[in-house]
Amino acid sequence: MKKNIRFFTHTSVMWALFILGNAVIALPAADADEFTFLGYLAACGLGLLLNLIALPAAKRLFTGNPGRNMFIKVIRCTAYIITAVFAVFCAADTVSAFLRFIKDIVLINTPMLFIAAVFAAVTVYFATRRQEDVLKFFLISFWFALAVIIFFFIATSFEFNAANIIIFKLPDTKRFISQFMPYFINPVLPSVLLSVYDAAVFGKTRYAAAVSGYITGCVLLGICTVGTVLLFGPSLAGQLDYPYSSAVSTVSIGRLFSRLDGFAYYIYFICALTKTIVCIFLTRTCLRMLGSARAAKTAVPGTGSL
Amino acid sequence: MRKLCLAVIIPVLISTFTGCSAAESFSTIAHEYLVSALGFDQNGDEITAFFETVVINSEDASAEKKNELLSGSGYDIDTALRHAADKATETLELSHCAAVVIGENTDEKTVKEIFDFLSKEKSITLSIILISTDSAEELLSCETISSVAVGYDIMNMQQANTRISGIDYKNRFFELEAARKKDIKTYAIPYFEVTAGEYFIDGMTVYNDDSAVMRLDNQESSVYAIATDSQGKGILNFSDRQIKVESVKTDCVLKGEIAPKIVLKTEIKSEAGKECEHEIKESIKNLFSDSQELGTDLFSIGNIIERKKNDFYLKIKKDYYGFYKAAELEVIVK
Repeated sequence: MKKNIRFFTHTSVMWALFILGNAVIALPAADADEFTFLGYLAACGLGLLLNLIALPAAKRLFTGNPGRNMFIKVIRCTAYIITAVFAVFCAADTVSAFLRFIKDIVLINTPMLFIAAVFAAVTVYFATRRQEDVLKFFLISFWFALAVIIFFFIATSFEFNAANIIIFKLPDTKRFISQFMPYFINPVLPSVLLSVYDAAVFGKTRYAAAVSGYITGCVLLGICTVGTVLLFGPSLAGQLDYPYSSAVSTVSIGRLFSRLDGFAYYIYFICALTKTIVCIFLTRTCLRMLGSARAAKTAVPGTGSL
Repeated sequence: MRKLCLAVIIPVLISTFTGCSAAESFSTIAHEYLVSALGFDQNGDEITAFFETVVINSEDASAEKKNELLSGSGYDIDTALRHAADKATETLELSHCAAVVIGENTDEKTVKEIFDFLSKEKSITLSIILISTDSAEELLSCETISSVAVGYDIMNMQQANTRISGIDYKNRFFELEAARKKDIKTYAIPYFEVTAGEYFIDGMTVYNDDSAVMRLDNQESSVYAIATDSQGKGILNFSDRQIKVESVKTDCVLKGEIAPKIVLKTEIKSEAGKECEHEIKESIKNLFSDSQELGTDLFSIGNIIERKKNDFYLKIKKDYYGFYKAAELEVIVK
């Protein structure tokens, strides 16, 4: 009981940082328009339903004794493979987006291989640690990220133009889908992986932590994305390579402090790192479960279980 | 111990990703050209680009800051900028560029190229302001007034002017580009006059489809700000007097269904009495009729109609300027 309470906040913030992931780097999408916020809300709502279905399903598939039923064993193995492949894809997508950002903006003249090597070293280090320690790292990182996101939202809010988003009018179906899909593809679909993480690390489903973390992540990502659209308008925001850091760069405090983009770089780094670590851990866990001679009898992995 | 390690690692990681970006390496930023302003003039087809630079010598803090104006020419913006940059002997740092100065003779194609360049160049902040003047070279060659570079003086002057007059110029790059992306063809940017080596804001230049079409003096700029709901608390310069204004709220509506009339309603809270109401009303009407002759939707009424009466806008969209030139404007000032 004490352990559950102790790690509730840690798991919640991990969900939040995962949702932000690489979505905070590139969203809103290139074809964003005034209905982008509606599309975002719809995607998040559907994502919540998906996760509520995925959580118990993950618990059944990734924990417990499969018995001797061949059909169940096959289902489980298929689930491990699909999860591992999807986790690898999500990790690769995140790493690619983050490295492209670093190469474009921060370390322009540094070889990409070097940047990739440093990031890979950091993520592999964390992915192979006890998840207890990694969750503590997520918790510490989250509070600073939260403060930065809220501060810059307030700082940019004075320039917002409410006409840039439409909330009280519904678009036609085709337009709605075009605004819905980018958010559904990322971050909603990858968030299903977190249900597996919960089952793999804690051996049970933690609905409260999952839902609170999911909602927190969606709210924070919404603040970043919609804030950008309110500031720049949907066409310009969609055209920018890194909309959120561009929005942050417009903030100046007095005469001395301008170009505060570095704070946005921290958000990008910590969110990309979190998502990559979780995906690598899941891939490793799924492959171990698949390859283990005793995968059919027990699904609790060696590293990271509490 | 682990918590201590984490508490050390995190600040170190943060420090590697904050601060000014695009620095090449620590060994070369001892001397660096900090670009404070960009300028563009045009003579026929030839474009001249200017970098106003402040040479930073971080090895010797007491060394005097040196300004240099680097120029280069070409038949397009990229070539002109490249030729100007070639004259720099050190790295050009664009991340603190404050202003883009557009000379009077720049044509539509050049202004479009300027916007494209600002969109592509990631190191330039989206908050950079755009201003107009007769000659960018003349303005950027002036002696600085209160800061190390004319570009920063321009930015400070505009901020001071906004604080005093209450006019929100909305001339930051992201504001202008967002409007252009919404197909709003008309925008106005501050005009800087240069006289005997001194420079100051003297009205605004109106662009339609990236081509300069009108020049507004200071009084007309105030009227323009009122009509476009860009006027806040400040002092309006009107005829031979100054009017202190507390707040201004302007709205544009369409009256009537078959032959709609454009109605501009503006509520002004000020110390001045009724006599200035008539003057503001007439000034807005005069500006409107001037813009009708030029075929320029000065107050972006088309955008307002599109938002509020989209069905009607779709009917007039094909010949919007035909509708605009024949439109009647009713101005209500309270």
